[in-house]
Amino acid sequence: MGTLTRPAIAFVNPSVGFSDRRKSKPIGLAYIMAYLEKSGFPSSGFDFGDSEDDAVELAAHYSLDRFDVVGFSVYNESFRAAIAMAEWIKNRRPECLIVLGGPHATAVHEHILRRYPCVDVVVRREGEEAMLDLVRGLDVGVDVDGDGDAGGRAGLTGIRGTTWRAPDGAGLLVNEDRDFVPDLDQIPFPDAEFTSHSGYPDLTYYDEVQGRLKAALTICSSRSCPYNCSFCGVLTIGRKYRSREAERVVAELLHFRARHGVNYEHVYFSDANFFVSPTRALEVAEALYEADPQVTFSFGTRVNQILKAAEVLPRLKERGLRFIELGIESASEPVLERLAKHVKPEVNVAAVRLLKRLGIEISLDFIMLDPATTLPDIRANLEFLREAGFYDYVPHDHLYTALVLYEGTPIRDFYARRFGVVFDPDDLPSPFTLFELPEVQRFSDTLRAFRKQWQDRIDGALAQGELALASMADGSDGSDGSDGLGGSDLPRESHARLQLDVVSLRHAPNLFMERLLEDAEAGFPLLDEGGDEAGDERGDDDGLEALLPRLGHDHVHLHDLIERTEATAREAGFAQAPGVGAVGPHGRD
Amino acid sequence: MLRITSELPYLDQAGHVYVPLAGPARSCLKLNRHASRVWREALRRPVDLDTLPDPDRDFLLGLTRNGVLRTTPAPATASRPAPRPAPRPVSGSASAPVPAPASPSEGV
Repeated sequence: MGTLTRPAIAFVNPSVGFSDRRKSKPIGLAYIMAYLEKSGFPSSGFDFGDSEDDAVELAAHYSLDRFDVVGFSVYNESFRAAIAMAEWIKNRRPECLIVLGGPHATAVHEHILRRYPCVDVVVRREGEEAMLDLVRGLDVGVDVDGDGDAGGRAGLTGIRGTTWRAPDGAGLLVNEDRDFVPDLDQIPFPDAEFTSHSGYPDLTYYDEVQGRLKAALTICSSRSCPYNCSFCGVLTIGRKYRSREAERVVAELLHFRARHGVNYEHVYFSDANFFVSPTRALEVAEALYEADPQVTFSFGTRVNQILKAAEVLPRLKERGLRFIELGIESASEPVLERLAKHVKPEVNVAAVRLLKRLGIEISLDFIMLDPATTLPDIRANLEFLREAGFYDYVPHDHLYTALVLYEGTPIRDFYARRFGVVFDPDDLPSPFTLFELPEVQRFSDTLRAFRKQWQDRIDGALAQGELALASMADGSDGSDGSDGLGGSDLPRESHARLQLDVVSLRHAPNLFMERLLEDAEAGFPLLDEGGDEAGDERGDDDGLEALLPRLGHDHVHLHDLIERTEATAREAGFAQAPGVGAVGPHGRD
Repeated sequence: MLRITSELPYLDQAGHVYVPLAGPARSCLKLNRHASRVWREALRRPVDLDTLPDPDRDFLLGLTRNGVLRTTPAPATASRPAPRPAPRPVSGSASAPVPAPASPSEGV
C-alpha cells in the first residue's frame, strides 16, 4: 500500500518561443498557487515563458516528472511547448495528472482532450477553485507509490469547470461552467515564487516628473472587461468584469514591499481595462496617494472611456498617474469596425488630444495590419500617427504589429468564414501571411525587411544617444563653449546636433514607412528598381535603399546617422553595450 | 527689414521644426505646426517684423532674446516685403485646438 500524502504540485508557464523584454511573473498562475497555498497545498512554479530552449530539455533539466500534478497555463503561442512537456512527463510518469488551463485551453478544451492523450483534464476559465477541488480530491485518493492505484480520480471528473475524457473512452465529460470568483478581495495576493531559466529583470519605471528611477510592481486590480472587442483573448476566459477595493490594492503594494524588501514606488496596473469605473479608479489613486505620496501609477484602457471620464483625469494626474496604455488599435474606420471597437477614428484623435493637453503620456496599443487591410487603411494609420505626434514615439513596435487570430476570438471565426477555411485549433496562423491584397503583402514584407535590417541598429543608437542626452540635461550654461556636463566635454554644437539626430532616428522608421506606402500606392516603382540593384557597402540587400529617407538636419543616410549618433554619444562618454534597448517615453524598460 | 538666422542647426522633419537646446533645461524644442510655418518663413527671406501678427512677432523676438535666433539688418537691395504667415491651420475635427505661437512647443 502506498502512503497517502499531499500531492506534489507544479505549475508551468511554457515558452511562447520568443523573448519578451518586459518579462514579468505569470500572474494568473501566481494567483492559483497562492490560492492553493492558503488552503494547505503548496506548489512549485516554473516560468519558461520567454525561453528559446527546447521544451523537452527544459522539462528534463527541471525534473518536471517528479510531480504528481503538473498544471500548464496555455496560450496559443505556448501550446506546442506545453504539449511537448506534457508528453515527456506522461511517458516517464503515467500517473502524473496533467492539467491544462488558460485562454487557449479554455477555447479548445474538447479538441485538446480528443487529440492529446497526455492531457488528463482541462480547467476552463478561472482556475483557482477548480484547481483546489482537483488537488483536494487527489489528496485523498492519489497513490504516490505509483502502483497504479489512482482510483481517487474517479471522484474528480465531476468537478465544475473541468473537461475530461470519459472513462469508457466513448466521449468527453464537459462539466458545467463554474461561477467566476465573485469577490476578488477574498482571494490571496498573487504571492508565488517561480523558478525561471532566465530570472527576472528588476521592474522599474523612470519617473521624469520626479527625475528618478523607481522600483515598480505589477498589480491586477480587476478582471475581464465589459466590452466585446473581436480580437481580445481576455474574453475567452469570460466577460464578467469584477474589481477590487482600493484598500486591498494598497494592501497588496505594502505586502510586496515588505515581502521583497523593496520600496516599490510605481504600480503598473495590468488590468485588461482599469478604467471601467472612473470613480473606483479615483478611489484607488487616492488610497495609493494617502499610503505614500511618492507612488505613481499607470494603467490601460479604451479611448471612449477616456472621453467619458475626462473630468477625473486631472485629479488622477495629481495623485500620480503618469501614463495610460491606450487601446487605439487603428485609425481606419473599416478596421475599427472589424475589431468591434465601437469607436470612430475621431474618438481616437479626441482622446489623444485630451491626454496630451493634460500632460498624461500615452503608451500605444496599435494593430497596424490585419488580413483585410488596404493601402488606404495604412494611409489612415500613418496620417493619424503623424498628426497626433507619434512620430516622436518610441519604441517603434506599433509600426510592425499585425493582428493575431487567437483561438476563441470572434475575429478568428470572422476570417475563417471569409477565407472559407477551418483553422487548425493547434495553429496560430502567422499574421504576416494572411493578407488578402498582394500590395499589402509586399508592403508588409518590405517593412519587415526594414525592421530586420535596421531596427536593432536604430534602437542601439537611440539608447546611446538618449542616455547621453539625459545625462547632459542639467549643468553648466555652456558659456565656455562646451557643455561640460556630467563629465562630458561635448561642444555645444555637438550637443545640439545630437539632439536633432536622436529626434531624426525616432522618425526614421515612420518616414521609411511613408515612403514605402507612397511607393506601394504607385505600384512599387522604386522598390522594383531598387530590387534590381546589388546591395551596397552598407549591407542593403533587399532593395530597401531606394526607400530609405534622408535624415537629420543635413539629410544623411540612415547608416551615417546611426554611426554619427553613436560616435557623438561616445564622445560624450556614454557609450553603451550593444543590444541594450531604448527606453520608452514613459520610462518602461 | 531683418535677416533672421538660426544660431544652431535645426531639423525640419515630419511637418515640424525641432530647435535644439531651446526647450526647458536646454532640451530640444518641437514647434507646433503654426510656429513651424512662422519659423520657416522667417528664415527663408528678410522679414519686416512690424508686418507680422503680434503673436508671431513676439514668438520670433522671444527666440531672438534667448539666443536661438540671430537678427541682422538685411541689405536694402535684398529687401522684399515679407509674406504674412499662412492662416492658422484648422485640421482634424472642428473642435481641434489651434496652436498658438505664444506656446509654440510640443513635447518631444
